[in-house]
Parts: sequence; C-alpha cells; structure tokens
Amino acid sequence: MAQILVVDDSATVRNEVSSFIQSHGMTVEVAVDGKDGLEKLKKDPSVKLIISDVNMPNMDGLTMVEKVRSELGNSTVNIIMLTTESDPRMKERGKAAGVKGWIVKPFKGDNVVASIKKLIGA
Amino acid sequence: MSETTQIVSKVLVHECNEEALSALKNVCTEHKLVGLKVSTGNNTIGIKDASNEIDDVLKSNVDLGAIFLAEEPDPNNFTGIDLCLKIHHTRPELPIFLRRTSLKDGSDLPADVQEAITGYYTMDNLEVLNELIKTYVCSMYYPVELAQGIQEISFSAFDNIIRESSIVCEQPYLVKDQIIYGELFSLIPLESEWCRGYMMLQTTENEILELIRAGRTHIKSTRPDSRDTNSVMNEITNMIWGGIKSRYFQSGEEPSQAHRTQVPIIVNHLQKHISFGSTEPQLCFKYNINNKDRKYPTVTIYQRLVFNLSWSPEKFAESDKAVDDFVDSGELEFF
Repeated sequence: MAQILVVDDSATVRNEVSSFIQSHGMTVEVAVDGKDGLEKLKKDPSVKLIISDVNMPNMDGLTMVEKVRSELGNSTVNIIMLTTESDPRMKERGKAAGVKGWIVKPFKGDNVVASIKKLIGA
Repeated sequence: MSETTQIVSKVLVHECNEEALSALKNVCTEHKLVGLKVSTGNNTIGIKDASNEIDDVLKSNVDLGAIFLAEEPDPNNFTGIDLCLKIHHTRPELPIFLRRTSLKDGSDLPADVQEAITGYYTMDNLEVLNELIKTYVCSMYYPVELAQGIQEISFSAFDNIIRESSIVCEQPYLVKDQIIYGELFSLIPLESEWCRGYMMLQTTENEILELIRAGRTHIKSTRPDSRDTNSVMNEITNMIWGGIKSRYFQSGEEPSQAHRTQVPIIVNHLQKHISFGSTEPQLCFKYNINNKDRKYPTVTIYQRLVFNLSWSPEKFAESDKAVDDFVDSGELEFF
C-alpha cells in the first residue's frame, strides 16, 4: 500500500520525486503514464495523493484526473500536477476536475515534500 | 549571463597576408565574429597535409558561421580557390568569402568555384565584406534578452536533472552549420505568435552514460544503457521547453491557422547533417558540464534554436513584458 502515486513518463522525474518522498518516510508507487496511473489506482484505492505530469503518451495527466473522478468515482484522492505546462486554460481544466495544486517544472524537492505535507498531513 | 552578453558567431579564417589579417580582425570585432585562424604556413607539410589541417578544424568545429579565404597562395602555395571546393563539398551551408587581389568578382573563375563562393571582396573595398557578413552571417536578429532568458531557463533545468556538477556556457552565437554533434539529439517544437521552429539539443551518448554511472542524475540503473541516456535528454529537453513556454509563450492564444505551414526536416545520418529547410543562422549555446572530482568526463551539450517557419522578434519584446505576472516555476500554486 502506497501513500503517494507518482505518474510521469520520464524515469528521471519518477526517480527524483520518489527519492525525495521516500527520504521523508512516505511510501510511493509509480506509473509511466495516465493509463498506467488509473490501473495502479484501481489496484490500490488507498492512495492519498497523486502527483502527475500533464503531457504523457497513451493518456495525458488531465484526462487521467477526469477519469479518476468519473470512471473510478474516487472523489477523495488529492491530486497535484507537476508539469512544464503553465497555460491558464489547462490549469482551469485541472481545477474543474478537482486538482488541488499545480507545480511548474523545474521544481525543488523540498517544495514538493512541503506541498505533500500540507495536503495529506504526513 | 552578464550585462556584457553578446551574440557572436565563430568563423574560420585562412589568411596569410598580414595587412588583410589585421583588417579582418577589425571587421570581426565590428560584427562580433570570433575568428579561428587556420594556418598552413609550415613549409614542412605538403599541400595534402595543409588541406587536412583545415579538415581537422572543420571536424572539430561543427558550429561555424562562415569561412574567410584568400586568393593569394599561402606558404604552401595553397590558395583559397584550391580550398573552397573541398570546403563547399563537405559544408555546403557555410558561406565562403574570398578575398581577391585585383578583380572584384569571380567572373574569371571556373563555374564550380563560382558556385562554391558566396561573395568576393578586396582590401580596397571592405564595405563589400561588411555587407556580405550582414547578409549571410548576421542576417537574423535574436534579442539578447531572449538569449539570456533561454540560458537561465536551461541552467535551471540542468540543475534539476544533474547533481553536484558545474555548468559553464559560452557566449551564445549564430551558426550556419547544419552538422549534428554526437549521437544523441532531441528536437521539440517551439510555437508562439512570434516564433515557430524547434529547439534541438545535441550531445554524445558515452558522456551521458558516464554522468549516470557517476550517480549525478536520478537514474538508478547499475548498468545504464541508451534508454537511460534518452530519459535524461528527454527530461532536460522537456524542462527547458516548459520553461520557455511558461516565460515567453503566455498569451494563451494559438498561432493563427494561416501560419500553420510545415516543411520537411531532413536528417542525413551518413553525413551527420540535419536540414530544416532554412539557411538562416541558428541561435546556439554550448554547455560544458564538469565535476571537480573528475568522476566523469566533461559533457558537452549544444542547444540550438531554429526558427525556420516564422520569426518576428519585434513581437517578442511585447511578450516578455508579461513575465512578472507568472507564478515562479517550482512553487506550488494551490487551487
């Protein structure tokens, strides 16, 4: 059972974010795109927070978020987007789908961990 | 970059006449050209060797802006007319300027030589050379502020992906060359109301592998391979691209459909050559990534911006004014 699901098509980012999170004593699962993220969440609905990229192959991050809410019916999991995108229209779409926060890459690991703690109180 | 940042261009100079060399230095200074003088003045080497020396300089400098040759023979009796055909054959995109001693054009030269040479000048009329440089080397204006911003964004991305290393960048410069450096390159579109083209990163795979083995990236593989090097390049490219979009492409408007033309990009693997269909100079940055403890060899990454489809730098200035309104990258924006 993981507390946090990191969804990013870049192994570099998955490793980087996971390392920061694990070094603060939290457990992590990773997914390589939105489709994989949905599958992982189906298998482990106890995930408290999803940290997801937006631009990914197969299924993008915002579509995944919308499906988490609509198809999985999971309205409680916290979601942060960690992305190079900063287009206001994308942020609006994320907000409408229930995204709680938005971090534009490049990022600082400490900021990500602080954000997680604010959201899930870990 | 500092306030003294300039956008320069590297040129190869084969010139043995002292007076002409002195005049060329002044011209280079005026146009912000960095001259790489190739000498064949050693009488102990033959003509074949002299040619090879230029080959070596060309091979080790894949980022040139132009070639300056002279009609007069050098100490090896090697003239610019002899050299130009070979240079033009291997690097056809590079403009070649030939200094003539009397005639002001190339009407007396063989047709293939005329085809290889871009323009002619004489010592008594250097204004012609100035015009040639403006037309063929400095024909595209890149705002210094844009170059500074891109470099800052790139440093930030490198810092995020590569740990415990120092990154050095030379002055940004204009490049006419279309030669690919190394085995690994990434390409991503840059599209806005004021520009359409690509950002390209080029590097060598072995050096990236050594960087990974030295534990300076977030790749954890004990036996890294090309998938890992691809991942590192992918994320560096992605972060720089995102940074440029966030900082400069914030109008929220898609480029109008009328401008959505495309041209084929041609890659010749044998010649290590990439063409975007445009001969305009590209904006180039060369980054060297080092480490004090010498755990890995220096990694060189060339970053090129190729605005081959649309370029309106006057609109860039307006776009740049909105930068202060944005949320800093790396900060969480709560909804």
